[in-house]
Amino acid sequence: MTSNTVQDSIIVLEDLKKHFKVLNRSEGLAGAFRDLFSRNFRTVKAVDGVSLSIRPGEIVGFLGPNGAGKSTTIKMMTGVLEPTSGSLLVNGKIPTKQRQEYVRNIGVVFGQRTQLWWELPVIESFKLMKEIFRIPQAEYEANLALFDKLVNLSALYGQQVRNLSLGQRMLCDIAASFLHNPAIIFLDEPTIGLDVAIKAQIRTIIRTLNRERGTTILLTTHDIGDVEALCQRIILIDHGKTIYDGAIGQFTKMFGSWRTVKLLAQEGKKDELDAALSTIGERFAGTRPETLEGEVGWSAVAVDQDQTPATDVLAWALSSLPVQDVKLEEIRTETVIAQVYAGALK
Amino acid sequence: MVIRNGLMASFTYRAHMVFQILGSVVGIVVLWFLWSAIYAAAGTTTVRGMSFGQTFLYVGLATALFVMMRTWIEWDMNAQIRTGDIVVHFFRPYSYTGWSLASSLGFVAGNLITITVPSLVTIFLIFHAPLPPWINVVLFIPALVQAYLLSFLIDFAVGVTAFHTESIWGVSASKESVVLFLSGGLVPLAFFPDPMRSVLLVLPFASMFNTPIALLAGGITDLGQIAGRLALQTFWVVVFWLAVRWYYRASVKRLTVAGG
Repeated sequence: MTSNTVQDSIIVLEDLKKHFKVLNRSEGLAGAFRDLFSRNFRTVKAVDGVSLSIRPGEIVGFLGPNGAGKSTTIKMMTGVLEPTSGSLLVNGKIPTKQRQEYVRNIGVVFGQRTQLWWELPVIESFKLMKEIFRIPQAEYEANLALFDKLVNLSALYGQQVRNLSLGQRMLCDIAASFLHNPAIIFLDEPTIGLDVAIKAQIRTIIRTLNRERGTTILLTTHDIGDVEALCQRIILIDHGKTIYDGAIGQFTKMFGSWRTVKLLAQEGKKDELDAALSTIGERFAGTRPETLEGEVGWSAVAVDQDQTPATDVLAWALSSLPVQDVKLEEIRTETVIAQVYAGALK
Repeated sequence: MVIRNGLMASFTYRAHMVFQILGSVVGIVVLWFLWSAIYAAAGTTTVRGMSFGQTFLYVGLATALFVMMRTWIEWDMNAQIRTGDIVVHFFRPYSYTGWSLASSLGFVAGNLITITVPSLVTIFLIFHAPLPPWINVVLFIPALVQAYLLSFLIDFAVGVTAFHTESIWGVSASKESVVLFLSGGLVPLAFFPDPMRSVLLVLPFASMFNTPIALLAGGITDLGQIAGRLALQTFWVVVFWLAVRWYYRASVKRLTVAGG
């Protein structure tokens, strides 16, 4: 990377590593006792040389299977963990140094945790944030008005946090992290376990604030809907290393030879169809069954045309499976990512 | 703001609050009967120079102070550290110690209203305990503040042990009994054997209960003596503050380096 891009960037990671020492556990009661005195450590390379740079105002999707090192990287970027080696500069600062000054300009939302005061009405937590981050009154009011316009948030202000639904709480948590107009927001799994309507509201709030305030957003998610709705760029990480970093469209193009074959089962024969498709990989090279969400009755198969023409799969399906309708489509991002997790880029 | 929110949070559980008020009054009544029985059994009007009235005032105040300073902050910390929710505080521009102190003060304010005031009313109005000289009442305030700070620092240190152990139950229970007994929170220090008492008076525990109570119960009236006890309190607050700060930083450092 050139020094020019580094200067323009708001987040710069260079060869960042985080290694943990983990005790090798022995089996059984005797083993558990031995472990009390054991010095038998092994090193786990949670993050093993990640380099990247992010420009101000970008929304970047940070993807990877569970245990890939996403959370560890986020924790280093937010100043919770100290890197083992490598350099890390966010907003011109080293997160673990001068923590108090650093966090003034970032916002963090961990989907599993709340920063709101559990026993109190939502608005009290907002007032507390205003106090803690010394948010000017005008700025505070402007933000509240914006939240209200976007997702009608004021309806929730009077409710105790403990009485909110998960989705409502998440909306409030995200709003709270935007209150002090930070330069960067880290969102870890913001839509996990939420219904479609709330997901849409959360995406609206994130997209609008990114556009209107120029906030840089780094987002980890397993929901491809989030990525497609929000991110221009994705970074894929696995086994502590970056395996893809670039535009989302380009990423999908790398899998240009792939198609999705969708099949509609005959009345009452969906189970029979799915059972037949579950082993399709054995019948045709370069095919795999897929799960579809929100398309009732339809089943799907991903096909790599470099190995098997999609027409072969269609011909077979129409002649020997209980199918009443078919569709042939471009590969879905979700499938591509699943392919990459399964090792397609290695 | 944090103090105010802590107070509001403790008012959220209304039934709990009512029972706390009732409980503290009942507790005082039980103490009265307990110590009446002890004095009746002893067959004398004074035990080690303390009349029944003085002893009752002493243990009554000790109970009132003990429940006032008990904010369960170590259990909040335990939960936050075990679930990892403590990281939320690392994303905010303040020190976690300062935050804990403020939220603990919120609970103290709640305790003051629901426990301490009803207890004091019971002790002085219903059982007609003798009121101390006004100078003692005035000096009781700094003594109480320092006693609270000591109590907070010890609780905070117990909370920090959650970084190293699965549950702080054992540490917390040991702390509670050691502190209560050695500070004269359970039995007046006057009842201890002389050599033991002179040692205990210098230890930090006495600063937590014996000093503020002795002021209000009229045990010490000499101004020089009072100044000495207050200075000793200050000394222990500073020592504990430095020790706890070091312990907390070392524990957090371990977390950020080794991972959690």
